[in-house]
Amino acid sequence: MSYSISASYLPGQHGRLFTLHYQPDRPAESGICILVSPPLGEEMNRCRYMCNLLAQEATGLGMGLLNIDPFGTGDSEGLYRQTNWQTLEEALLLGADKAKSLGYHRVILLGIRVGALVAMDVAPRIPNLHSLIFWQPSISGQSALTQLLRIKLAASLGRSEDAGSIKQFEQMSSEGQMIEISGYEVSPEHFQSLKQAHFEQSIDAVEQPIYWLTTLASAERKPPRAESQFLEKWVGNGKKIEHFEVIAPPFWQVHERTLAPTVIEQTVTLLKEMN
Amino acid sequence: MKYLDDTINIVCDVLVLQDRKGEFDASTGLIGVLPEFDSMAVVSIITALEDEFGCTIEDDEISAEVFETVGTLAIFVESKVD
Repeated sequence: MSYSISASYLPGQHGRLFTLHYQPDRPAESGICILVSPPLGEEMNRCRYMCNLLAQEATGLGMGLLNIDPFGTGDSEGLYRQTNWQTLEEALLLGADKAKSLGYHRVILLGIRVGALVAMDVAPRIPNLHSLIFWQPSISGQSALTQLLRIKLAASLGRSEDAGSIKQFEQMSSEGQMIEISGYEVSPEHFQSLKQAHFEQSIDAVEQPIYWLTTLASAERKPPRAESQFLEKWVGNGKKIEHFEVIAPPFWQVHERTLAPTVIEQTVTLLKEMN
Repeated sequence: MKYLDDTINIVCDVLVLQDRKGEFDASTGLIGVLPEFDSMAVVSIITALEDEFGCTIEDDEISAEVFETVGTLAIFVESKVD
């Protein structure tokens, strides 16, 4: 093993944030630390193993990796109902400070799913940001929210209860109610900020290169149309975005420890070029 | 059943069951039968169908009947696409 793992708590504004630091035994001169911006809810749990796998590879290249659970998520203090956009941003900002205090010179933000949206918002506020790597990013908070609400609808399939509708959930949230999705209570504030988040709002302010990995279940599949249109527009506008299509299972949503080794391989190839 | 093969491909791709694809046919049970078929799987399949066929699936179309078997899902796909 060419690394060590240390667990600690960072003092956040509302409570302590659980932090895992994968430290390389032989740090590279590049002084890079990967800071994970995790997906939401259950997707976060399903991506843990992938992050661990990447950490093992990255430390082998002499890079560190920091995994911080935002307030109200994972092993951090607080309840999910207390999580909002600011607490998600806070974890990354504290993480960047932590990376600096650990002696790293540069930070790479790894945004997974909605975590990519949060990373884009925070990017201009992170000094020494080297680049952003995205795994299956959600470009629209509204679409991500619809996905979450559909999980709520799907969970009631086959039961006698009234499943409700996405419109009803939106109405309930706008009236100040918590919306419970698979055991996660989403606050009205979180609901609204998620709904409004979109890559279009933040991309102009991001100057660093973006490495964007889209997974496809097989070679016959194509990336979602909205994503292709977005990439075409912003690459055309001169943004430094490199897009990669990787054949891999949807590791963020599949049960068990489904891994996507091809996603790790492509990411490691990128990291080697950055070292 | 016009979209049976497409439906089997999508279900197996999304659930990462490609190695069991040969066992799937119209009578294969989904919801309540396949352990992998949880609420996240339902949503993933809906999204994959929308992406693949360029259609929109409404809330009230998401029902236990549609996801009962591969065959009922294939018939639903046909109703959305044709």
